[in-house]
Amino acid sequence: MIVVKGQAVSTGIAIGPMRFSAEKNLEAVKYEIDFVEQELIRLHRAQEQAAGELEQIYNTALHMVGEENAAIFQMQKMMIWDLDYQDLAIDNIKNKRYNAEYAVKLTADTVINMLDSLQNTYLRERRHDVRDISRRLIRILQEDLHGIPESFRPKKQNDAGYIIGSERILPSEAMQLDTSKICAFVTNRGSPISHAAILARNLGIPAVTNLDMPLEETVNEKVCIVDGNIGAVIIEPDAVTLAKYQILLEAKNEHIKNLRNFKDLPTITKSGRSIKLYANVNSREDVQTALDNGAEGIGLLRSEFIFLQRSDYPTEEQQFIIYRQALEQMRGKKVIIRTLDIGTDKAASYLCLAKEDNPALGIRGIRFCLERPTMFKTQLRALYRASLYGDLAIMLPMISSVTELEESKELIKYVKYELDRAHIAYRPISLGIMIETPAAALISHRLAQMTDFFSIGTNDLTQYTLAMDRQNYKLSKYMDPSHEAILSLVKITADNAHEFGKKVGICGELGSDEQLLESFIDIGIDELSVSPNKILPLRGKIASMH
Amino acid sequence: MQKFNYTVKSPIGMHARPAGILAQEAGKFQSVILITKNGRSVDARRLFSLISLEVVMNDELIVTIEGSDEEEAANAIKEFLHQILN
Repeated sequence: MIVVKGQAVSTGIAIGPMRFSAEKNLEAVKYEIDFVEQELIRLHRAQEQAAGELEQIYNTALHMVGEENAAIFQMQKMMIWDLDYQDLAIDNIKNKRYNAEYAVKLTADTVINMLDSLQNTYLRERRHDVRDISRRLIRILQEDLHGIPESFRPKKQNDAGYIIGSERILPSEAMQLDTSKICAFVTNRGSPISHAAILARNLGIPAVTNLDMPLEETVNEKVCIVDGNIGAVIIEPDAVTLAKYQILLEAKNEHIKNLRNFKDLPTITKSGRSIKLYANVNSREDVQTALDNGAEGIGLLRSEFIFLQRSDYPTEEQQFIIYRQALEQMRGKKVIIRTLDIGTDKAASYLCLAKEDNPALGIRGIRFCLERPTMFKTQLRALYRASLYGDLAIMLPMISSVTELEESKELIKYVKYELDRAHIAYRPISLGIMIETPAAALISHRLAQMTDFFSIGTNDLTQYTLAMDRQNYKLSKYMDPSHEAILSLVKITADNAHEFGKKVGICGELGSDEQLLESFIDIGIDELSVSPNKILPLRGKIASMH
Repeated sequence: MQKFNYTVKSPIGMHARPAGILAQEAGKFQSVILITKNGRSVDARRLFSLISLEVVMNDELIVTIEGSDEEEAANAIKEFLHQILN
């Protein structure tokens, strides 16, 4: 038994056979060329093919790790066509008369040298992308059909649960792995922000890198344990160690299975006190995730995703389709959609946002919408039309005065009037507001008489009450979301809501704080809306409470 | 010739992806677009050149644009910098 220590970059435990592939040193063949033009054409064709492959990998990555992490493959495409990269490669071909493969290798070396000299870790990390695209080009030029190391691919049909080991895993290699068969990653060198690490975390499997002792092909097919909690790889564990880890693994699987049991159960304590658990969702995909995790409803569907990443306002029809889909997917379970909550810190050029010094204290939330009544009415119309397809409620963000609420209700009245005149049907929709400023909490007795429900946005409420910028990581040690002032405002809000027979929920992160569950149930909070993966653990915890 | 200054507000400066998008944007114009930091100038169409500038928060960049579509380019680049580096 050999224990190798390393850096854990993804938590968890895995036991299985290791498949180690030594880095097939993609040797770029080197020779002197006779015809420059021909060689330049070869290079260009390889670039085109590489760009096409990267487009496909980008699409795969979108599903596996999401847009933000998949974007790196769009960047790799840009690198392939970059003028500096091209100039270097072309120079190596034209003036040094090297073949395209070798020209690419030299180019990669030069660019990587430049990146190595940078101070910034993140920018330096991009050398892996340069190496990735260069290997891709060389591979294409040498017509090496198998881009992925042999051992990365499953051997037999019923192959399952093996550990991938290698010197390192390049970004595009990570995206091409058959992740249904892999239970852990181990690399001799790597970083927590590498693509493989991100993928491992997304898949929920352990990964360990930067090993004390580099592994080699001699570990192939040996049973290993990967401990992503302490950062260790145990090769050929002895019986005692193996048994110990098997118990840990079983316990974890048991735990996950038990949580699954809570999926369709109501949320109640032993003595029968109840609270509802809803989900916060940011996109269409999240809605399914919410259902899979036993959400009793959607407590906050943020509508910003519909307005961002585009070059013009979404039309009423485009919005209607999205709202309708969400309602239909939730099959009659409540869906609370928050109207556009955007500020000048969000980038979308068609919105023509004037720069503000303090976006958090600026034209945002409801103020933003009231200043653009046409846009706001379009969203409201789409919501009203969608109301026929499920149990819809609308929530207004950043309301901090009676006037703002009155103006919004006027617009809603007008939208209903227009729909009536056009004989377009709709259902009555509950109208609620977010309580996320001290002002709103302190006048909640007035607001409760004008709305159907409240949802407390504790994230922003904390920011405004404690006068701390949420985005400023230097303040994180001072930021205490369970500060007495916050809890006090939550209680005031809840009491006022209940005085007028209205429901109150919490949709900020505070809702998933297990220490506060008792207080929340005591105060009489009607629902907690949390991120989908917190629902089952919370339901389990509540079931164990008195 | 168009010329303007720009001070980087974003705490993470200019990472590879925004640099790539800037390079793409700059490539759409006929004009020659240069970004200068601490006396060193690079062609804004070149991704690795932009990366080598290592643009960080509070950097004062000088942007110079010369060519037939310089006004349009200046507006576009100014807008873009505000969007991605603010």
